Amino acid sequence: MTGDTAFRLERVSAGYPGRSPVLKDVSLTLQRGTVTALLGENGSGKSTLLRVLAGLLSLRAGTVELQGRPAADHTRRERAGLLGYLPQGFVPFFPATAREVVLLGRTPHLRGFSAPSRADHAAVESALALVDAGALAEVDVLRMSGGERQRVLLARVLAGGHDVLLLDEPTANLDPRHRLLVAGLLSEHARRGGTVLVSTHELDDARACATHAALRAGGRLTAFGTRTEILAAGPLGALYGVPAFEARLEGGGSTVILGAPR
Amino acid sequence: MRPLAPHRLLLPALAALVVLGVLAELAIGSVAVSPGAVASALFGEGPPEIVTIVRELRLPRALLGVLVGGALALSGASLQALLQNPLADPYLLGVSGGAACGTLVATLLSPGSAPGGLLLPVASFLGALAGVSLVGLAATSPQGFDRGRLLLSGVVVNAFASAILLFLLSFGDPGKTRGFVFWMLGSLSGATLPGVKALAVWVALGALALLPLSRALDALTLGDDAAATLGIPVERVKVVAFLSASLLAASAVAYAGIIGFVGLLVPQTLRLVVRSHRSLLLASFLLGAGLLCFSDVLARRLFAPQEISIGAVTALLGAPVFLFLLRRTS
Repeated sequence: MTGDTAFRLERVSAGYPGRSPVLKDVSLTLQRGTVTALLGENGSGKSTLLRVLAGLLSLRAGTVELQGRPAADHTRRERAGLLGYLPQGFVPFFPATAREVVLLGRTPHLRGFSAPSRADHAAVESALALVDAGALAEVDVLRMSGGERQRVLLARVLAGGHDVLLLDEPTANLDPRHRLLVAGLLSEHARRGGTVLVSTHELDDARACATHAALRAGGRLTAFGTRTEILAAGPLGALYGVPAFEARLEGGGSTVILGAPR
Repeated sequence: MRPLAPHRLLLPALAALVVLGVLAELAIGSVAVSPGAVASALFGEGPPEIVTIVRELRLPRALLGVLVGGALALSGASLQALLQNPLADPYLLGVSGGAACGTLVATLLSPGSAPGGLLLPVASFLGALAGVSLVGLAATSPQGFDRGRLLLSGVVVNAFASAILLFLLSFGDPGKTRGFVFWMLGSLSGATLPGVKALAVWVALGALALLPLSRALDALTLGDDAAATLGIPVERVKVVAFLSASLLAASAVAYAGIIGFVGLLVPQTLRLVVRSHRSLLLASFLLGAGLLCFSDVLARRLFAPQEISIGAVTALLGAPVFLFLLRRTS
């Protein structure tokens, strides 16, 4: 059912000019209403995969379909309305308040020289509130802590009202409370029919929000499945090359612990 | 809602500053003219010698100051947005050095070229493109474009351009050389009405190409990737803005020599209060224009009757601010 498919990648290879491909023969389908956690070691190509889906990197082979149509058939503006992308670890160069930064997320909705509308400003306020940054609205992003800035940059993406969110380590630098807050936002986005692909190194975050998980190693997608299949001791231990244990929790359920238990 | 009051007052206040700057240029000099007499002289009334001084000697110079200061500040504002480097400036990026070489070569090859003609600005523009391309090339490594290497290569290319200038000057006619050196350091003393008219066309072209890009320049403050996913045609915007910024700086150099720090200082200061590039570009033009008029008055009067180069005045003001910004951003 193409109507329920947000992204479909078929045998995609991609990489940077003059170097061997970072993505090799990757096939992946992301359904609407899902949060997929993208896990893998540093340099395993998680960011590259997100950049390919965001349309920032051209393909060397294979096809990418976005909502049932070849991705390249979407106009720049259509794609900007549909996709929200959060790059990894960006630090702004110029002073700007959180509110001004988040308003830039409304760019796809602005026409010509017209000023932002009431709806644009409302979207900005609600995005700031969602990431618990309402109190930071008038603070210069250059003067914020890394975690505060990260939440504001995420609010910039949320303010765009996109169906599909491509987030590169959105919870990096966040404290546990805000990490779980963000995980909750992503779950909620999927519950409303949105699609999320989120790279992370935090298993707790992945467990808190993901419906699916994809594992990357050696330029390939080594595993893709539901969270119970993938976020388990076996696949995770193999992915990171560390001991992994399933621990039963007292109140029921279980969790995975990486590293030797003490 | 963000309080908009400072923005609303800023542009009218800067416009008033430009008017004051022009008035100072017209009134202050070896012959002091009162503001009232300046106004009458502009309409051709009053003593004929005052009318001549105001309309024929001082007015072209004041208008040149407005255009050159505005063009340099606008060029700097767009280069900073484009390169996402708060320290970018046409002077530091090889644009001015290249433009100066182009202008000097054209002047040496065609000594009698008219100030309103096409030759000097075109040669200056070509020189600017050569300078900025060299800087861009040097800042590009196999891993891509390295913004950190940009300023360093700009410094080297400027030194190279200075060397070429000195080389050309040392072979030139010593009688003309002194004038060239003075021009190279920046001076509005060559102002003529036809020159001002021609420059106005070049500056209008550059400004009109830049203003529609203001929303794209806003988005670029989030980085190229984020801007591209917001629907901005990043590569096209960069090419247009780069060409416009080079054209603005190059035409300013063709008529007034190398005047540093205006392009750096003006947008930097304004960025503390203005965020949207639409306001920033307009405000930069106005503040640059006003600043250059007042700097020119200082250059003319500080050691009168000896006139010092306006580039020295802007550098005296700009260098400390630059060092302060460098400390703050690093």
